[in-house]
Amino acid sequence: MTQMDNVDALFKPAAARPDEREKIAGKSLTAFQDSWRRLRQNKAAIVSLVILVIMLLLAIVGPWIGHHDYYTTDYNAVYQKPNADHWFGTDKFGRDQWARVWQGTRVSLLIAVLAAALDLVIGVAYGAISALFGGRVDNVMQRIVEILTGIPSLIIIILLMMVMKPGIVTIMVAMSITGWVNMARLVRAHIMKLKSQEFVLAARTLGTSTGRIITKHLIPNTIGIIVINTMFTIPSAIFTEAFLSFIGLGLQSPMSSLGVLINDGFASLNTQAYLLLYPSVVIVLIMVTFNILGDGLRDALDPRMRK
Amino acid sequence: MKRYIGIRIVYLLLTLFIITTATFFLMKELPGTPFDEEKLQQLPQEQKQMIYASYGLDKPVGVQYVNYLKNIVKGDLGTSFFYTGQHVKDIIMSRIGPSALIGLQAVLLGLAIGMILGIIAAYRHNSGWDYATMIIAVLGVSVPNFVLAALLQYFVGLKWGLLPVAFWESYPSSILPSIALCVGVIALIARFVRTEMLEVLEQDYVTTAKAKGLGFARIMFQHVIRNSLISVITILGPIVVNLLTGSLVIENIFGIPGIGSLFVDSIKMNDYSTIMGITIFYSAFYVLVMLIVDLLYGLVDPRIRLASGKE
Amino acid sequence: MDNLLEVQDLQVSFFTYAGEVQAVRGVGFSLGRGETLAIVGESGSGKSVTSKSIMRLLAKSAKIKHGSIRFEGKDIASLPEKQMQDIRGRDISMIFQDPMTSLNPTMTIGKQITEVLKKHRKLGGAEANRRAVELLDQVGIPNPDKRLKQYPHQLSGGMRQRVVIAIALACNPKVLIADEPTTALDVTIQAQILELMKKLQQELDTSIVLITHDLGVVANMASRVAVMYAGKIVETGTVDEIFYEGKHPYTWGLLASMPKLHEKSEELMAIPGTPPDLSDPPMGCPFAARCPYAMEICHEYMPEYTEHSETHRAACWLQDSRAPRVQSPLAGGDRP
Repeated sequence: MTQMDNVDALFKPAAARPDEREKIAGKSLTAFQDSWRRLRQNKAAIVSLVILVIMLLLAIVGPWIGHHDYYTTDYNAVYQKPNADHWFGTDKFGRDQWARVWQGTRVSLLIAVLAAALDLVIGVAYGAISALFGGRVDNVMQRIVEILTGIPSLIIIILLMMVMKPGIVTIMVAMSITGWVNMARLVRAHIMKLKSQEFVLAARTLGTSTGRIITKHLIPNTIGIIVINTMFTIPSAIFTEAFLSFIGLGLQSPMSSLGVLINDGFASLNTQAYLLLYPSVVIVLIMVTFNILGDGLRDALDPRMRK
Repeated sequence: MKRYIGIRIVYLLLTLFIITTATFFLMKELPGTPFDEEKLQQLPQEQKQMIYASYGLDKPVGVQYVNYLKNIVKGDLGTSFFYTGQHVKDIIMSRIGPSALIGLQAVLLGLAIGMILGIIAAYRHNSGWDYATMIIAVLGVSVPNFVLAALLQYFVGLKWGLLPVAFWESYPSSILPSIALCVGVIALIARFVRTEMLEVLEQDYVTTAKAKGLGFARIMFQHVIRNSLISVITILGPIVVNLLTGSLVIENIFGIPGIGSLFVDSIKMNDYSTIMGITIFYSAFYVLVMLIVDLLYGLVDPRIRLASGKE
Repeated sequence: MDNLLEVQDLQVSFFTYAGEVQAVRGVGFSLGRGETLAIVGESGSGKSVTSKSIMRLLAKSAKIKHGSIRFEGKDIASLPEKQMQDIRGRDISMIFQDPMTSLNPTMTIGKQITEVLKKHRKLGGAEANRRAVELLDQVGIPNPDKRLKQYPHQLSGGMRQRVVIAIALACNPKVLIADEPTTALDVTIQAQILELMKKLQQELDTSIVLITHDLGVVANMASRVAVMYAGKIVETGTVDEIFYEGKHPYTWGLLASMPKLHEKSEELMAIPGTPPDLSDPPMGCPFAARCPYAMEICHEYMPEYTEHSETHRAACWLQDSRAPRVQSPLAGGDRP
């Protein structure tokens, strides 16, 4: 108690300290800042983001910074191992693999991003309409979705690819014909959940207009799930494109895509393994980074799902 | 419950009908025919007609469609254009063995390894085990199965000569393709079980079990793992899809005389009737698996079993 | 001393990525045989963490940093997990807040009761089943034979809480820790469950640690009360001492914020502000920032306990001889 001897003076009413009363540790952040801060802490996601950006840049400029274009054949330089002139070697027609790999990456990414965008537009619109209208409309729309999910989509894609002329647009359309269903289901389920939540009910009770509820409450709260789903749609579209090309239904040489390259590479696997190696590494890197980034985004946008 | 199964079967038939119809008319739209066009042109008109007639191609499309549906109901998938005179059904049946063998091996191996990895990862959350499992899971879903198959064939088969790489000769021929096929399954299951179990570990009833003074093993097996594994049934659908698509390329890569390679070959040969037959076979298999999964889930999870029982 | 359970200077911290959170900061209390001690406080005051510490059921991120928990004279704070398992469910049991989630949804009621009997009483299947039926009957569940084979979701919330109580009492524990046992239930069911607990306590002579934020429940059930705030016990005493002669302004605040039946127009008093952030606890009295009577010293030094009777102590600078006299706003036999 010795230390207390000279504290007598402190026994007087203290001035109110309202700031301490409501003190909250840490500064408050907007939802976006908060998500970004969490994403930044996720090292794997950031590394993935960096790798992905590099791949993207290479896909854009790669075909131009080599010494050759991706389609010119050169029968004097077939099956060359990687060297100073042909950084990734040449294929059986003497085409430069460096240019072909990055051209292929460009095409594959383009297809995947466009397909994902198409899925997004159709899926979000369908899901949102179904959820917002509810009742009979929702009922009919959901029955359709139920039937569509019962169909193994890859089979339908294969059939469509056989009928339509192979090309970038064809692949994109074929993938989107069944691809949007997943997005539609997610968006519908999410909006349905939001609609019944208290903060939306509260807004409604306060007389907020439907338009405002949609733009201020439903959309901002659904964006996260849309972004996350798209992050997973892109790699799966890249896979599907490669898969189709691999079984001979996608793009055809001299066009280039990762699937075409892997297919060509596999044909000469025994003797020219490098032809398979580079496009494989690129496709694996893209798939891995997209998946990790998707996981990271999910954790960042929805901390409750964090594991 | 009976009513529920009834509705599901109606949906199943509807789905199959839509797939069959879509397949039929898509096939009619195909450019080119399965026949050798040049040779066909040289034949006299009568003979051409006879060939068409033997496949029923001389009739109007509408009639062909109705006939096709009738035959399917009878279980007849038509005759192959390429393997002349053979019934598509018989071709499929003769190819089913190898596909089933590697498919089953892949599922069983994938389930076992995936579950073990997932459980360890969740229990040792944020440990080296956990990170290793997550890396395997991400790689498993990210590395396309045909790339993996090609790599396995190159290294294990050609470079190191450990296992046969192609030709369906003896049991060892099935090992590499099964491994190539099961990696995706492992990844899906491990990831799912891990997430599921992390969730279960935080449930109040696990705390209750601990508060009862139960031993570690009892809590883990009776309360945690059991409840975590129940919902694995729900992802069997995606797993079957994974296996079906995987089998298309992997059977091709390893030269396995299964349905997957038959399908890819028929696509290359424009063998319409076989393509249609396999499409319908695959679809039927898929919707059937989905139905079984649904019913099985109801059986295993009392919440669902009783909820649908009351309907 | 004849205390069944004695907690001394218990300190528990959570180690999160944001740093150490000192959830419990030196808590001490004792529990006699057949007695009911209520621990009250608002959410985040550390009352649940205290109860989980006694059961040693803290999350992995939490650690008992200091202090002892003596049960029948033996310190169980440092007991090996294996030996702790023999105490849990047999000597000390626990009832949780939410009966909707505290039962395993995929296991029958019967199995969930019998597994604790098999573990501690080493009963065989048939015998355990018989005992389970008895227990269900004892907690007032009709048709116990039938209920045994049912799953939790087939029972209402109140019924489930009865099952949870049956599980907790299956081995006649000496101490029952009830962590907000009625919070998740309808008001009418709440009363039934409290009655049941009281009845069973008398039958089995169990001591109860009742964790709650509901002073109505306290008045109904407890003999002694410990008021917790920001990881500390700020006042402890018998129910009468706390309700009629409360010394701590936080206790007054709690009592004033409780609605009363027979007084119509009285305004409910709310305590302004929120509890302090325990990752950076204040130097002085944690309640100072919200206390209408706060003095300079309250912000600087933590008050020591002052004894007001053998059972009644409070930690507040107002009780210091140098402090100005302050009257409780509730003074005058204002029984809730």
